[in-house]
Amino acid sequence: MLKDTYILGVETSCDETSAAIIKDNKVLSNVVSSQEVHEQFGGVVPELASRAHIRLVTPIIDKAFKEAKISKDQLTGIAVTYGPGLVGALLVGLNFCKGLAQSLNVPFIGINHIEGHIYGNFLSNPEITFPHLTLIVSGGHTQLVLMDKHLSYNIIGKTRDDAVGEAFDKGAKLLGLPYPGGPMIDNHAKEGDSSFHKFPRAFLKGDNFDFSYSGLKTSLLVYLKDKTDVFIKSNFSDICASYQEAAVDVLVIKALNAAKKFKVKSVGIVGGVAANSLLRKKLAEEIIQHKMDFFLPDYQFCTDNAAMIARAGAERLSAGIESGMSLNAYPSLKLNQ
Amino acid sequence: MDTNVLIEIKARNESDTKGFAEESLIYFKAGDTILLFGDLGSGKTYLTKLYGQMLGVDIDVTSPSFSIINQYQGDVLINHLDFYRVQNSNELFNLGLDDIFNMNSINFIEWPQIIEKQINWDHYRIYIEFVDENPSSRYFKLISMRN
Repeated sequence: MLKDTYILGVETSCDETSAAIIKDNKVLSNVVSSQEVHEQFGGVVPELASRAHIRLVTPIIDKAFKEAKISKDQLTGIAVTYGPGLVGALLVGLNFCKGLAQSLNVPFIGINHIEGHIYGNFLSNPEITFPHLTLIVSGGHTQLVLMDKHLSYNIIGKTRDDAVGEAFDKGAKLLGLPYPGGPMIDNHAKEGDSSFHKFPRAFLKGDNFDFSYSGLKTSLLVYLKDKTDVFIKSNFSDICASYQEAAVDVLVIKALNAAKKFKVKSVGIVGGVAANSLLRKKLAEEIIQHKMDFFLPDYQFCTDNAAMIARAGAERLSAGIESGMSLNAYPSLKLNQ
Repeated sequence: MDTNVLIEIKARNESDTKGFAEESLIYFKAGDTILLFGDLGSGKTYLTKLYGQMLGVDIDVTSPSFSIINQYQGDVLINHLDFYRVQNSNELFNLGLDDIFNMNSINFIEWPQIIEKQINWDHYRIYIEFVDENPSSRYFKLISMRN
């Protein structure tokens, strides 16, 4: 149980610069750069601006303190993402936090970005029960992670090629939608008939929970090759619905099978693709029908954010775990490393 | 730059593709950069996965489209990059990705169009094209670029 902890979380692993302050399980502030830059530039988010961590890290951390209405001496710890991600990006947050922790003389802890995503779900649902299965689905990750208790991770399945978010984004591109267009497929699919075309479901040979999504993308490419623009346009929603269902079916079946095999009490979905409406609906139905609990994070904790890093940090620091000042950034950090 | 076509084949199936991977890999050594050209779904990541396996990487080589760079330790250090979602080459320098050219690694780069003009030293290019009649057939072309 967390008690009287004030944790600053910082996340700079990829596109977003983000800082957040949480008190125990309560988010006092959660500032994310794309939203800030969005306000500054009035609608258009230049990619370069969104990735300019060095320029953004100080104002964003300042803003997090201002919104949380606490002073820096009230902090009881600092948590920062140290992998996986781009090394140049990770180092910005990591070095800033090392310096701040030293000057404030508070404990400091490095957090795995994926662990952060899992703890984003605990922010929204502190009542999550163990054993707990998390399906992590985003542009860069597709994993099934089993937890018997806090901070204990067993990766039971992962993608062997593309992440499911990539199948959505690149599928959208093949359909002529702008990149990244995953959420647009979801919107079009709502008006479509998913039985229009049967795209392949990749279940892979043998008894495993791994995923493969590059074949689905290629099957869409092959399917579209001999279709006219008129055909694609007039059946657009149906094609989107069929494609989306092929991607989601595999996630739902694998997650359900894993949940049953490992006899978990609860299942959660985290990451950007956790916002997909079909995935949320189908997996929730299956899990609840099999008498397990189902937990989803609030939307703000699905995409990259620092509140989830702060929450994972609070858990580690409360368990007496700290990082040393020699901690380095690890671009390909594994969850149970 | 002088261009020299080293291999040009039509692969009809997976086994032909593996053949191309084996034959082309003979040319690559630590410090080399290979630019991979080909449309979405043409198999750039799949080809890199084959190179990874042949170079002794014991984990799955997965798509770097989101992460931009994945690094693997095989018999030699491998950097697998993908600039699909990068819009401006300045970003790569901001992120320190130009370091890969001094790592004595083999660098495979998907969607290299935004930096191809800046690579003005010796390197290799692979072009992958679809063959119309069969969804699993591909043309592969390996080219060396020399000053």
